[in-house]
Amino acid sequence: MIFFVLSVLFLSMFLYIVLAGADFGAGILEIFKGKELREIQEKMITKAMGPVWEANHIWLILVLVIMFVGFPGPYRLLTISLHIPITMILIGIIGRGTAFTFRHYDAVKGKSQAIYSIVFSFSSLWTSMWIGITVGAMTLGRITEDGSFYNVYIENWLNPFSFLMGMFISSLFAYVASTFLVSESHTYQTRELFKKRVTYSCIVSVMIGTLLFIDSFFNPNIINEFLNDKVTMIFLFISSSILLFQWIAIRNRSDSYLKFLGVIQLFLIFSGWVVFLYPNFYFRDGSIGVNIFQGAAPDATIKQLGIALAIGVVVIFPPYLYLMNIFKRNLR
Amino acid sequence: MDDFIAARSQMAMSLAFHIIFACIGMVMPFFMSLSYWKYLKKRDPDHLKLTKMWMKGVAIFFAVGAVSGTLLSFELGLLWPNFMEKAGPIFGMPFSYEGAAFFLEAIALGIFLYGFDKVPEKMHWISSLFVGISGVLSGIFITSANSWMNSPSGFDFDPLTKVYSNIDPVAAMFNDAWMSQALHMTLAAFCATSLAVIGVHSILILKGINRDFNLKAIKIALPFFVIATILQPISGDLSAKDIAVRQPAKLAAMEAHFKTQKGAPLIIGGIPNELESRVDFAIKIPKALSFLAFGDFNAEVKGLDDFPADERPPVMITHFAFQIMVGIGSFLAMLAFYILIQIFFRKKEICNRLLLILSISTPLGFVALEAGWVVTEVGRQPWIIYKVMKTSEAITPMPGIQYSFYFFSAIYIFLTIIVTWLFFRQVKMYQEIK
Repeated sequence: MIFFVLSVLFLSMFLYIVLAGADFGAGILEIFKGKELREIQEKMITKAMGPVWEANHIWLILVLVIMFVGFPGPYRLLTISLHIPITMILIGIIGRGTAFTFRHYDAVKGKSQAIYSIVFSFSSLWTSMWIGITVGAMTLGRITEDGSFYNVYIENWLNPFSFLMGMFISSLFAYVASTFLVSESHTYQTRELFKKRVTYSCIVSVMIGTLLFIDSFFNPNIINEFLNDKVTMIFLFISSSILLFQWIAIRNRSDSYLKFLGVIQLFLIFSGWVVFLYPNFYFRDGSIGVNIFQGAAPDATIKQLGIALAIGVVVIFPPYLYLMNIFKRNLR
Repeated sequence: MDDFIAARSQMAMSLAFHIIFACIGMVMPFFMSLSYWKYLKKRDPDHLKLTKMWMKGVAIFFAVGAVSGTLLSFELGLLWPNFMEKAGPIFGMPFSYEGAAFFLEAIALGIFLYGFDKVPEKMHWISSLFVGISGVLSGIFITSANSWMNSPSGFDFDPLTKVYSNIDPVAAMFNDAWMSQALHMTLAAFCATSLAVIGVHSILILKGINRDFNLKAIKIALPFFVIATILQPISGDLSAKDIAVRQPAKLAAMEAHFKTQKGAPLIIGGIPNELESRVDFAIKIPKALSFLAFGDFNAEVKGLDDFPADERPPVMITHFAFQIMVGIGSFLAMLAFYILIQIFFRKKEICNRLLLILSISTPLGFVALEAGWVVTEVGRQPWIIYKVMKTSEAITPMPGIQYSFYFFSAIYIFLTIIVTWLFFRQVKMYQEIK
């Protein structure tokens, strides 16, 4: 049963980073929109995100629930030591969630729209940055409960590695969002504009990814583990090689491939990260580290959690797909 | 401000904020759905307009509720990690089901919001109904999680080693208090939300705007208000009897009942004096508390003095909150009864005097609802898990929680202002369209 619970955890995390990631990315792209894009992009994003917007973000709640029900020990340690970056994520979530809703539902479309847009786009960047920083801190693994305030609450995330991870994840989100938006644009002009976004965000992602790789040489534990971890290396290698196919896809205007390959790339990077950490929730720097199986709740709980998740999946997926289907028609 | 008080205040504020949006998100979909049903049957354009107006309201309130709910689920861990570590595996089930129900609600709302002219009408109507049903279900699940804190079950606890064993999440979910609490909360949500909706439309009529249209709105919400509000005192009585047995300290604090005695009087109003164990300026009804709590005029009711000093809840807050809740509840029940007889039985028209009373009462339901949560939460103190874990043991070791509290207070105040402002804009715009 624990593997079923872990698969649902994996799936919800992945769906969150793809679907909410595309949302975040769309917000980030709004910051870098040129004059030409201003209105078209805003309209497209609202149209594309609107119906599924709420649903996308509930994946995060699911991740959280699985964590505290199924893996209370690691959950406790992470919420204590990553209190600050998690709070920062929350601030971002409030900002973009409310700004998006207000922009969409405000009865009067006036000057306030511009303010909502600014809050929405900047908090999208802010949230992605802090999600990345949290991921970076988990990857670096300096999670501890003992020591000074600096050791416990600051050191794990306030470092170049975590910040580079924040930038890397933000640019990845922007990349995925732009591949989505290319395939959803219907005029030659908008398509060209988003094509540029794909190229730029791709270049930025690769550059930051390289920096991240270089920086990990300053963290000997990480780089040693990384170089030993064949699966992660292969995943990341395939993910990078897909860029070539992306280039072909963009030239041949095969948009559905572009979108599909973008998701595959994200999947490979995410799986690579999971494989890298497995069987821990964060990197074991030295002797500390929390093992998934040792940190799991008693069997009775895992069993009930598995049942609840199975029921949830059965109940949720049909209407979810139905909604997705309507919203696709909505775009046409 | 010390960290403990800061953490409790932040939690209280987040809950108080979220509860309002959650309740509206639970109940308003039913109005929206009913109005849409009426439109589909009779094709009265007013009902379509009403449906769309409420729908936009639901969308905003739901989204703010979702955001504040996400925030809350994080805060549980950020502020009370030691509690979540122990409690998560035991009372996590309702959270998992709540997640599913909430997900369903979001999907159904998405289908309804964007489904006009895209989805077959029947399907579209069903989706609106599902928004409400799954909303109520998620409310019940969350209340069940809370009731576990009042009535912990589904595990064995060794107070010496502080080890939790033999965990049974299903028994924890169906703990002794879940039924009475879930019933009380669901009725409260219906009462508070329908009264607020009726109140807002009454205000609009009194201002001379669109009388017919707003009366149609009131007619949809009124039956919900009447039924929920008349049933609420009965459910309250069930809850009180339950608490009398399971949480005598909470009952004693609610009633400001200090000395254990047979044939205990019911204390109405008054100012509790915790130092001298008495209540000043109160009205006392002899033997009434014993009767209300145990159905026997001579039953013994435990007083606060029987509990060790460090296991007594704050009397003043609990007592006042309880008085507010019961006071408003009784007033509203009488109002509902009056409406039942005049409007539903005698088929009289809704007169302006009634509209005036209703418009003044707009926020009362929510005031009572918040007061009720104060009773249940403050009344459980100093425990976070009743008789198992103290709130002070649950808190995060992270220092400087006060800054987090200040910061989130600012955010909540800001959000309240914006939502209120948006709400007025919304109402104003819809009323201007003839």
